[in-house]
Amino acid sequence: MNEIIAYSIVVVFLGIYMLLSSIEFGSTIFLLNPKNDQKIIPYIGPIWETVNVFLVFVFVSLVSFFPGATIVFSDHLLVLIFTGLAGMVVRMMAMLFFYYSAHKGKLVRWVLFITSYAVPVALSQIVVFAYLGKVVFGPISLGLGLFSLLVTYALAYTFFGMMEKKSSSIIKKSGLFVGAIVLVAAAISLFAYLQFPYIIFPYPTVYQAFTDPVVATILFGVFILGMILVIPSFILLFTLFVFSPQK
Amino acid sequence: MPNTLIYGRVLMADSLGFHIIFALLGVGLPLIVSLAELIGWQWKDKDFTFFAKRWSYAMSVLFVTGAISGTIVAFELALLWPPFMTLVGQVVSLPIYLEVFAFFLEAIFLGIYLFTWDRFSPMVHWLTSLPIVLGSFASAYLITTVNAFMNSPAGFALSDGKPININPFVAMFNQAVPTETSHSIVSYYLTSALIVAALYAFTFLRRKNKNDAQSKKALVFCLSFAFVFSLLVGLTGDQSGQYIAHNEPIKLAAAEGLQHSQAYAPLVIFGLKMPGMLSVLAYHDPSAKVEGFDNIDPRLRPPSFVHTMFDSMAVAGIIVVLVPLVFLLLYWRKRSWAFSKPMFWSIIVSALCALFAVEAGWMVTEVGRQPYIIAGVMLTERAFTTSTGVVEFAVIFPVLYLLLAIVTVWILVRHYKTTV
Repeated sequence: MNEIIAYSIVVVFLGIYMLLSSIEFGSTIFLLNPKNDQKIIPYIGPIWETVNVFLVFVFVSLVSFFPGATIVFSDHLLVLIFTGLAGMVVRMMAMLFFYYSAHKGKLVRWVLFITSYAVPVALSQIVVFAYLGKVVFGPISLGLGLFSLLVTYALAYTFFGMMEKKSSSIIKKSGLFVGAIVLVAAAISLFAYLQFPYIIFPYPTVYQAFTDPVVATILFGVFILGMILVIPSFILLFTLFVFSPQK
Repeated sequence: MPNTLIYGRVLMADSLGFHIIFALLGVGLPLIVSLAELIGWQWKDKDFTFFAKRWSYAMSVLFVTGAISGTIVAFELALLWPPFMTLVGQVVSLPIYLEVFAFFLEAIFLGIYLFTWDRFSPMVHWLTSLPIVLGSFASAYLITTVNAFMNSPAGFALSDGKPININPFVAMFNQAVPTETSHSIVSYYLTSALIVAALYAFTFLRRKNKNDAQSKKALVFCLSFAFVFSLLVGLTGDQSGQYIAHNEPIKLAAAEGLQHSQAYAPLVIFGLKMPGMLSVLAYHDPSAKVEGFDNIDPRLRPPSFVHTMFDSMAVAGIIVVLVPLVFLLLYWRKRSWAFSKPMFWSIIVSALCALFAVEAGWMVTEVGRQPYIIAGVMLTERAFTTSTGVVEFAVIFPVLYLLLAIVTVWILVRHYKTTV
């Protein structure tokens, strides 16, 4: 039972991270055109660091609740994850330039865009590994990569479309396209959830990799207390900047 | 994999050495900024409000760099040292998990703080700085308890290599915690204040005698803050030394370079020998016996450069206490000398010493624990990954860090040069 709760926490927050980061990462394609700056910067500016924390949260949750899985991640996914991380570092440098300095030149915008779309492609290969037990580059992995690109683009498009009042017609036109992609994204999340009880097939099950039950109970307590603090703060942040953005 | 282990060590050391610079500023700057804003609000001093606004830009840029490097460190801990993380995850995951929440609060309120100067009243805006101060303090404290656990493991027993009878609270509040957390955190406050002071000192040197009352105010504020914390650093340093003498004797022997166990043990700093002083410092008793390397298995002996690092830290520690003290005395008694060129240079030197001391201190405690990754429980070489690719990333990440450092400094310099 504990394992199911912990697994759910990891998957749910992974889903939230995918949603938020897709919007953030996806927005970079629109930022290639400086005319879009004022539509995007007020939303992304205050929140992108918080989005990064979600990623750390997912990983720390995974390692805290399923310490036994660490060895598998290390043995098989070190190169993939480090590659993604290296991409993230380069991306963060571009984010620093774009959001913290007056330098919003073409180079910065392109680096931002390329890293923002390349990193999800690289990291989506983890799904291949999760299903096949090894990293294989082929039609499936290419498809997954392309899919992650689409999801990223679609969610960003949807979000910023919603924020812009006069684009309702565009939304209607591409509604089917966007809707379909979001549905498939949800399906993938469900698929991830249904992989239970395997974290990485066919390596340790969540039962084998799970931590001590006493420790798990304490961690759940921390999670609840933490959420009591973080969720209202998060709502405050989004109310201040997403639903009534600064110019 | 003995031949790639060294690359894993180098990668980890480089990542930690890089991260600590930005993490310490992430702890120190929020308190300095919050205090400045409080003074500006309560004493209606526009200069201090100006300082808070001006420094909060650096605070947020440096937070980002700290967050990137911290994310990498977190992943590296798990991916480079999986057996270590498996044990740590099982026994002392509590503070790690708590830390992520502290990090969340920090990130959220940093976003709010930066973008609501004009939206919120002075009081409410200042209040939003508090979660940043508390969050960064909590993060530092919690992560350091995990490191303390590595130096002084507690709260579990080993059965067939697996931990049993786990008590996360005992593990988290192990006996190394009080000295490790207090000494490191006060040094972060001190170092941050000295760095800000040094930047102002640098602008004075560049401006060539321009009389800027506002910048002088900033200097006095930072150095007063630094002075208070320099005393705390000295005090907690002494307590740490005593703790290590009683509980981690091998580390003390390494730090002091003590070959032979002896009473009336001498303190040797860069060849300068002070008879009996080590026994006095470690046990407050000159006749106390201090353990040397003679009773220790040579395979468990840490590298000898730990001694050099410790001596360097101690010398730097003397400088960082003296400089704020001298400045404040001059400011009180002979103000023109407080704003003289030699004083400005001394301030810059003291900031560099403080930064160096933080790195040296961490080297002493981490390298001084080798060959163990968890003292007495797990050897570093047994904790290493079997994955390939470590060598390549041991080159890639340091290069990225160098780029990131250049980008960070460049952005900060550009901003402060082009804005008032």
